[in-house]
Amino acid sequence: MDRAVYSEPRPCGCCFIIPTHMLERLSTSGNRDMAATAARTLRINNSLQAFRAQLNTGAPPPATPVRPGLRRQAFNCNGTEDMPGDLARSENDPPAADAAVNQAFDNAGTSWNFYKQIFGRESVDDHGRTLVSSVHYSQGYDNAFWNGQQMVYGDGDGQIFQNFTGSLDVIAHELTHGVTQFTAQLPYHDQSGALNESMSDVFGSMVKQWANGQTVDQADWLIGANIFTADFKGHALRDMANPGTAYDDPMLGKDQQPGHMKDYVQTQDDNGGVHINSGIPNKAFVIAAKAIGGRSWEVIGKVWYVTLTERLTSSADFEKCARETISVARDLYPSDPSIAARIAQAWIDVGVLAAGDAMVASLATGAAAAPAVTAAAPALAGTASPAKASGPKTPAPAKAKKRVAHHRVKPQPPNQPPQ
Amino acid sequence: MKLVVERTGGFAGLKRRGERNGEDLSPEQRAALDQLVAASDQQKSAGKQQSSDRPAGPGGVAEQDPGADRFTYRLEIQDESGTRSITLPESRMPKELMGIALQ
Repeated sequence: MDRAVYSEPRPCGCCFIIPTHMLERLSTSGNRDMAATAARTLRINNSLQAFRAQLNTGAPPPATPVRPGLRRQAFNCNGTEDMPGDLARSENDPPAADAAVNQAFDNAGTSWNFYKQIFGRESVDDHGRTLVSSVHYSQGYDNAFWNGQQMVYGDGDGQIFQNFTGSLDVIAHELTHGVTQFTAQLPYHDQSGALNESMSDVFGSMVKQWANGQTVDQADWLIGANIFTADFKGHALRDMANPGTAYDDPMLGKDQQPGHMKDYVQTQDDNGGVHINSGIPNKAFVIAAKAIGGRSWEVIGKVWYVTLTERLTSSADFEKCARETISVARDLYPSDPSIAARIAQAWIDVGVLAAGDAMVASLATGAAAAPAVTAAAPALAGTASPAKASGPKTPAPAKAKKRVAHHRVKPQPPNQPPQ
Repeated sequence: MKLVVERTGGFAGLKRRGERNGEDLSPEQRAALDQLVAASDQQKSAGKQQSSDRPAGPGGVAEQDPGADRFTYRLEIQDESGTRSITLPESRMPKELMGIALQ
């Protein structure tokens, strides 16, 4: 693919005469006419943004019919960099002779099933896009990546890394980069890039837990635990529960991931440390998941999924993500405010939100929803019916809303409550 | 002259770094490096943003390959006239020079 998905500076989504933040303020103002006009303008702006985004990602237009069902293709590059390589296995084919082909194929299928069964999502673009994987890419290539269109796997260098296709969390991580590309489009640098990485780790780990039937307490919260050779001094590539402790290797150095904003790493490397600072939102997710308990995909996973696919935009940073997860938790679980409160506490624990934050304070006092959340309510219209009474560990979400399209055409709630 | 090659990013996010003295470069490596430097000079004289200028933060992102978990390479060329650095996405990095980062 010639066209860079993340490299081009995006057209500014805010180049309108009235700035978006003012429209958002107006749309929640007391003046009904003004609010209606502002909300309508916001919707048009957001449609334009969605249209521009579509040009960037290759996402199908909203009216495109969804092709339901799982479609996979696995290709073999045979040690070359000719992409995608030779077709080695398609849907309904019997297993191929090559083990990496089958691993990439099977793990892509497990990841697809997770997204379908848990969130009702039809592939990475929610329109039934074929999941394409290429294996045996290049020689001694120690990486797995998403190239904007498909997943690509090397065989590892044999010294540090073994092959990548045997690890379900690696494959779900790469596939989730596709989901993010077709939804929030988090730019791949600095905080938005670290969020992009964190989303891939969060859902990568969740898929593994789902496949193993693990609770949040049984989960290892490790990424890439089984891709290393025996010589590597470490237990994984990333430890979501304890960032910074995954490895300490003479050749590769020590795991640098921070678990708190005070340790945020400012660097030019790795696009601003996207694989490093992802430790902070990763840890927030684990803290909240353990506080809520149960199985990660049942409650908190839904909150993160709605946040990624419906709330975050390309301008998101950690704080925006924190506020949106709290807002989504309140919308999905109106009868159990403890879920939003536990998520808020997790973001406080990692230093993304302050303990005295107004949005958090309104949770603690049970006060009426702050304006930021009131503004968010229309985004989930139809889901606000009280959830059925259920146990605190696994409350039923308010009726799951099936989005008409993956495009964000709803007004976004303002990031900050009006002062 | 000394050449330092750093590789960052990738799924693992691990940094690899190696260096080579100018006289130890193979003719192919030397040719690849000269070509990169010439291209970088051309960009500079054309008034374009240098590929090594990568201000952190939105709006000032260096060239990246599409997608995610790709490698980024940074070359540092040290000689008597000073140090210059060139940052390249994986797809534009000459294969001859990649291995230096893995020493």
